[in-house]
Amino acid sequence: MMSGINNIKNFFIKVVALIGLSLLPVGHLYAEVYMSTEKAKEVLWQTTAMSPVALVLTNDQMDAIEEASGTWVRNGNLKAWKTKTGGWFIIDQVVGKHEMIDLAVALTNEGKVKGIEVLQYREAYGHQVRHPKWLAQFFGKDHTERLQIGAQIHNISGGTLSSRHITEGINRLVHTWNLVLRHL
Amino acid sequence: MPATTQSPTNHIKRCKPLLGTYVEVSVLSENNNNDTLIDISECVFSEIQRVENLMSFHDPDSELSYINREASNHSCSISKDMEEVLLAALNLSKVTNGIYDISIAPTLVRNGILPDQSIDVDDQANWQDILIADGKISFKRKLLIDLGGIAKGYAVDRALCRVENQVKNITVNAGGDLRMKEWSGESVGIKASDTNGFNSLIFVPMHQAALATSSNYYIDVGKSAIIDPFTKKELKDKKSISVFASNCMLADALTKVAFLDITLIPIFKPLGVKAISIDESGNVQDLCETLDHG
Repeated sequence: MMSGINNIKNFFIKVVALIGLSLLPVGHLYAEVYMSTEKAKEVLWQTTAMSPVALVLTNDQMDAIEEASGTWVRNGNLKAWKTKTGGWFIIDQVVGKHEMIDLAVALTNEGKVKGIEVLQYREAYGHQVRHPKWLAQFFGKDHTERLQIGAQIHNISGGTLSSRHITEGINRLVHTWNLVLRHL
Repeated sequence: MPATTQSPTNHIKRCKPLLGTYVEVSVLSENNNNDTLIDISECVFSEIQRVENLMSFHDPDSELSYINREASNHSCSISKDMEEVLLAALNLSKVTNGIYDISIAPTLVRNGILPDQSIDVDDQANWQDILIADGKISFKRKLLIDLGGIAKGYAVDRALCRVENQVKNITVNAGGDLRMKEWSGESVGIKASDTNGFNSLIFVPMHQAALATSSNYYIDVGKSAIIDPFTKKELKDKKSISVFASNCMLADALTKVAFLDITLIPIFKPLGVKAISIDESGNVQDLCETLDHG
């Protein structure tokens, strides 16, 4: 039994080493793509029509949102769509100590959370987890292919990672609605 | 040559933040299109949400919070779900002589792992002060219950059982506590972490339908969610323990038992339970095997 586990383990180490040498200079990553933006629109808002709203938050708005939500506003560029019914569809990103997540959030015309979908989840496995370069590798177009390699891993078990960064991100978006979106 | 017909297989995988973690649902079907699979996964998420609404320690409006506030004053009617989980937890406490104890919550509150709801407790209270009869609960002493070590597994079980007949295969994974419908031949990656924060994945075959893992590596340095009920001390061990069982509620609860006293695990072997630990060097140890030969 144990030799079987060791064989699997050794095989995995070799695979990871090969991937690491060829593609991933900064540790290896587990990444899972769950859903496209278009599919998330359909799941969260069904057939309700929506149109994109180009929006860059001002420094004052970002400060006000930070104060109201107690959460840092990392990016002033909002990827948002307004629905025909006055609701919102927003693509957002949250960064935790271990994970980085793209999510879609639907808010009703009263600013209430209608639904949340995680679109993409990335977690690093490597000694650079706490290194700033770990976060840096998530940004920029060139990394997309690398991040998808781990998608072949079907199921992972481990100590429970708290989703509190999502809770904070949702709180930030609800305050963004209250201070900015509701007036548009 | 006759044409062979092969049913198309549809597969979806979704993830939502629930139970304080990331819940992933993977559904495979030959008879349903992707839209139906989305509906089926929606049933899974709503069932998990329903259980979370009942059993959350963090939510002051949950049934659990109501029990924690009121059960030392008068007996309270409880839902069937709550009764099932509490009876399972108390049964485990009995079998493990109190090593598994859901009344450890006040220590978790003191350590900042759980929120303080300003409820007085008796430090001498333990699981034996929880009385359940005829669908009602009462506390003999003032205490607090936390179902953090069992409710996640129960939610996974309930959610999976609700839809499994509609699909070829389904996996519900709530932050590492997972259950599969068809688990034979499947393998799973278990996270391992050393003292330097080097994380890796160690692949092991599934031994049963459910698997749960407990470890402290995501918790802030110096803290732990695993408490010895007798000494009230936190277990800051860096190893991880994974338990395979036929259902996720048992697997979830037994990871805590295994952390506190691995010699108790063989009691559960007749139920098909298997436990492994992974140390800081990534070494996998079969806990049942070690005990058999030791």
